[in-house]
Amino acid sequence: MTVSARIILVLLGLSVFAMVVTGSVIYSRLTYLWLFLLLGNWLWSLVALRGVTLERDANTYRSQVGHVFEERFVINIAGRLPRLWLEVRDESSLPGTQGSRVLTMLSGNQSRTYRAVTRLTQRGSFRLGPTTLASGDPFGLFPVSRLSASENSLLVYPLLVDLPAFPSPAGLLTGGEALRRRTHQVTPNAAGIRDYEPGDSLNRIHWASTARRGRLMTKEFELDPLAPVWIFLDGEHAAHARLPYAQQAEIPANYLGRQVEKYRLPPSTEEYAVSAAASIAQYFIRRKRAVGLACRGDALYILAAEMGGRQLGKILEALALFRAEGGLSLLALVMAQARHLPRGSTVVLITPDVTNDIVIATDHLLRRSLRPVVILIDPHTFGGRVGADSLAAALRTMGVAVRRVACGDPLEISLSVSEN
Amino acid sequence: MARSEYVLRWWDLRAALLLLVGVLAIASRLAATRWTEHLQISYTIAFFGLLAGLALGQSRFRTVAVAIYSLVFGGFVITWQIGGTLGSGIEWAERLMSLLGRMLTAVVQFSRQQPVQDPLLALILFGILFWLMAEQAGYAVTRHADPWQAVLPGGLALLVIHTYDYRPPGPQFTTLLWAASIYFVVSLLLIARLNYLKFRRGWELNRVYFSPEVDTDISQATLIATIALVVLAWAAPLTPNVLPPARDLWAIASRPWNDFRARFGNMFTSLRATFGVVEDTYSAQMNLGRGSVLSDEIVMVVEAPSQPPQGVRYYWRAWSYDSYDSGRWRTSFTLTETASPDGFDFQLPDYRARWTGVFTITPAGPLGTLYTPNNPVWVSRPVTAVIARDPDENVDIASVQSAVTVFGGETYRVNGSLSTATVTELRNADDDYPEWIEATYLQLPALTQRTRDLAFEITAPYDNAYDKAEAITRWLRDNISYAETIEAPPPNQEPIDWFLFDSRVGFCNYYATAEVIMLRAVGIPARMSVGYARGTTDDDTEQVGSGFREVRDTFNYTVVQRDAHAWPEVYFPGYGWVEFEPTVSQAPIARPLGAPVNNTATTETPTPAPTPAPTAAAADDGPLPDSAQAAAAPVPWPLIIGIGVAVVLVALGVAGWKMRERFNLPPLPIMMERGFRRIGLTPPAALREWARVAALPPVEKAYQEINAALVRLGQPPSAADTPADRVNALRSLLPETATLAYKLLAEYHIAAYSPKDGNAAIAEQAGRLIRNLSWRRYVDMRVNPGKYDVSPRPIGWRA
Repeated sequence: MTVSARIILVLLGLSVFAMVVTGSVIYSRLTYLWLFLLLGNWLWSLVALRGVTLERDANTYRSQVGHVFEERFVINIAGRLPRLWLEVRDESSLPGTQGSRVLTMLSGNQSRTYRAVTRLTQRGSFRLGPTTLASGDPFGLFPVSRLSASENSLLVYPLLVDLPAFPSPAGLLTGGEALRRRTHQVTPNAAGIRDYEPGDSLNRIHWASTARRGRLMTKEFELDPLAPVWIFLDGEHAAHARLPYAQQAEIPANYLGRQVEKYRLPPSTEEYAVSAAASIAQYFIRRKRAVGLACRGDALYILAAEMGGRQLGKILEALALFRAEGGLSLLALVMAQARHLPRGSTVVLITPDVTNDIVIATDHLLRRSLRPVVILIDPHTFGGRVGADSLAAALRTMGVAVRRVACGDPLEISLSVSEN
Repeated sequence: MARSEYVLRWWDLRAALLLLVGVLAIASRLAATRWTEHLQISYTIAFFGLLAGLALGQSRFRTVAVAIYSLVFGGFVITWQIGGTLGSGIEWAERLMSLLGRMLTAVVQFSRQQPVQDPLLALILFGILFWLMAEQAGYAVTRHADPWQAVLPGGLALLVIHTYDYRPPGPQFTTLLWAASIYFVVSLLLIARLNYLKFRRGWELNRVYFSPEVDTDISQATLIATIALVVLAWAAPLTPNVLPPARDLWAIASRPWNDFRARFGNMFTSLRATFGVVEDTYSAQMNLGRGSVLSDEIVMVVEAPSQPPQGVRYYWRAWSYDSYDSGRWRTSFTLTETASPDGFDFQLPDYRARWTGVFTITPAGPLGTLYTPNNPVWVSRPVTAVIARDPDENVDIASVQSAVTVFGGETYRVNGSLSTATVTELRNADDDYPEWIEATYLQLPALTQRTRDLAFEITAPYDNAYDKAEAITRWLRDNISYAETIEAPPPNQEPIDWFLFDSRVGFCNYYATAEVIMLRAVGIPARMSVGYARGTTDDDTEQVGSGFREVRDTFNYTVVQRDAHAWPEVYFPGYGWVEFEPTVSQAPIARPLGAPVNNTATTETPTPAPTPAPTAAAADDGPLPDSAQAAAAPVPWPLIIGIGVAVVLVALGVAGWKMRERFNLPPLPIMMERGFRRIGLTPPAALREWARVAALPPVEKAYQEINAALVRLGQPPSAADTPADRVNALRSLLPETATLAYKLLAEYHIAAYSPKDGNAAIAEQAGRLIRNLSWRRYVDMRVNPGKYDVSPRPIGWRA
């Protein structure tokens, strides 16, 4: 019972008392007024949410930062009684959600539908719900509400940009451009295995796999071998920097598919690094390269190098959940993982760290016949104290491809074009 | 002040309009009572109060600043409105002085437990209440969006007005009842509106989208629901019945209130009197009467020039009569003319030997007829004069009536033109009277022959009007005895004839009438004036002495009921009306002889008699003594001083509290304890304990609630009990406090046994709740003694 309801209850008591003491007409009128007010509004609130149900669904539960997410809400009113107002409170964790509405004048036996559009400004996994239905009487005496649990969640990938080019260091074997094509010829480069098909030569049977799986498996070969690409993302919290950030304007609730302002990355080295990693992964996956991911943020993510769209999906999911809150430096991560990488692999180091650790890590990779590419997210432009210029120069002297990304730079240019 | 704090305001035009309708509905209900005049000012006061409240609530001012602004604005508006009730054309300085004087008079009457005749006090009270109510309503809406703070005071005021404005059942009562319903409709709409505004603020904060139609939809539905509710309640067929037990119970419970109300009822005496508060002593006609013993109740205080020209005697005239018949005086003047202070343009005759003085008059009670010296040439109030015009359009004023009632304590000013004519000038005055004077002021009733003969006999030796008038005056003073009361004249005898020849005893009415009649009998125009004699001043003793006299520009003359007087005025061509004093209880008028003119023979030079100091025994009687009251009670100075001291103490307390906050001073009990010690006294034990608790850190202070709760529940802890023991004991006595007590104990342990301070907020909240719960249990134990086991138990046991 609200304070107002209590006050009216007290007023009712006082009016009754005054009525029986004085017999005055005005007190009897007031007694009826308070009585009718309490009873009427209590009944009003009693039926306000009775028979009201809510459904919410979306076309997809995977999207990417910068995209518009659309969700449909359906309110069903059972029974003939109309409802004056109904508040749908979307309590999902999705930032900038536009699902909360106030609906008025809902007739009985009616369904009211609206769609909520939300510009996705933050990567991660978000639950869609719970949803609270609230209503009550117009005097606020007996507010009522009901909570519906959340059923779905939305995964928001990082921002992906199309890179026109990216450094691809030469492998160990000489030749022209690698043809990433499978062949029936037996080459020195085994590409994989598949189920045996009639006609396959017996010398192409992979006996070890056949023994493990209990059926015949045949080896496949590639014309040219391609080394995998490994992306190492720096997740050490101390290395990252960010500037104060004013959230971009949200989409208005009455959005009708009009053009919205282009999404801009927040001025955070973490977001630039994640977006760079995602874009590079997409670049290589599109070029039929096997891409692996290693990063240690709030959790350790090691995704073995694979090819294909599914691998891209896995990388994007990992990057969506990645938080640069780890304590492990990139150097340590490289030291730990480099020994497992095939020789000749391309290793893309993405880091805002401008200490000498990066030189050591690069040198370590070079010594292991790996081909490092370093993406330096210049922390100075993100509010850090030291810039990446000297480190970039040092790396270039080592013959390493370096890309420097500053705050506000378009990633597709910064990652594609060398400053030299 | 933080910007966010400023943003959190609740201005809403619709709510403001609803409030406006609400407060105006209450004001109209008050005006409908017609308890007194000028209740319409409550409209303006409520309007401006509401505006001020809305603005102050919306402002960034703190509460103290708001209170100060409200006090200043309210003081100005109430003064402005109440000052406006005095009528138009009065200078504001005079209005303010008048208000102040009236208020003091009313306060004195109230403090003496006398009925307050002046509605000013009640009007001011209404003004203050309406201001506070409207201002508070506006403030509560824009500052807190609290509908109850806004509507409850107004509703209470409406009910009080409705209760005390009793009307018998009938159409008028029903109309007023329905008019009252407007306020309740508006109040409910305001509650709903503010509830919606709060919802809307929550929606905005929580980014809940709502279309503009939401406002309209909810408002419309609320309006319909509210009107339906009120109509239903007001039209409900049931009628209330009084329950005798409830009424008896209430009679017992409300006895203190009734005593209080009886005490303060005097404040509203003027309201019950409504429009009949003005009781002028004099009117357009007057009977000679039998006289009565009059009191020393103050009628007015007149500030008059201290050194008028010699021969000028102050009289405060109410009426002049020209027609006499069978013991009754009246004025035959029927013309009235209004005048304002800005345009007091009566065309008065251009008389010689006149002196104009400025008189400031402060009546003690409400006046309709203004007392003025003769002749008034300017009055600081809008007036209506009862006049006659001569053929030259000159005005003869019989009386001056105030357009608006002048209440006790008010002040008005009069410029009076008084005759300074010397004896010589009056003796040599022309005896060619204007026709209109002869027509008006030589009218005679059916006189007895012996009266005429007496008049001629007295005046026979003299050849001029002055000497004749002076002779009659002297004869009356010498031959007629004064008495405050007399027997009624025989019904078959002319009263003046009876007075002059049979009784030879009377009071001023008879003296003055006899002189006027005899003068008219010998052909000298004369008239009868009534009002008050000069009164007394503290300076009188020195004034009559020949010793040192303080030089002052003005004296204050205190005029009491006993100074009620009647006197004759004689017309001298070229000099106008000149007063004479035949009543022996009053000092004779000593006019200067003046320079001889054309060697006019002076057969007799009246010797100016020394003016005796007026005494109670020598004071004159008044003609209408029906409002005589008991002797005035002394001013209750102890009460006034006590109230003043209390006000000062409260103000000092508030100022001290503010200073304590600002300068971070120690709590009051600690300061009091130090004060005791500083002057070498041992503070009382209660004060020491109070100071000890006040000096504790917040967590430890909160912990004291556990001890207090144990005492309250009849299990006081012993000194050997540990805090945990006490908490366990409390838990066993009051299980619902267990969680709170353990929280408090944890914070207390941290504060007492670790370098940290503990969380004061948690501790204070827990302490507060423990206090509430223990009090609740305490009351329950008193109401249901057998419900709980209150036997003492060992407190140190572990539960």
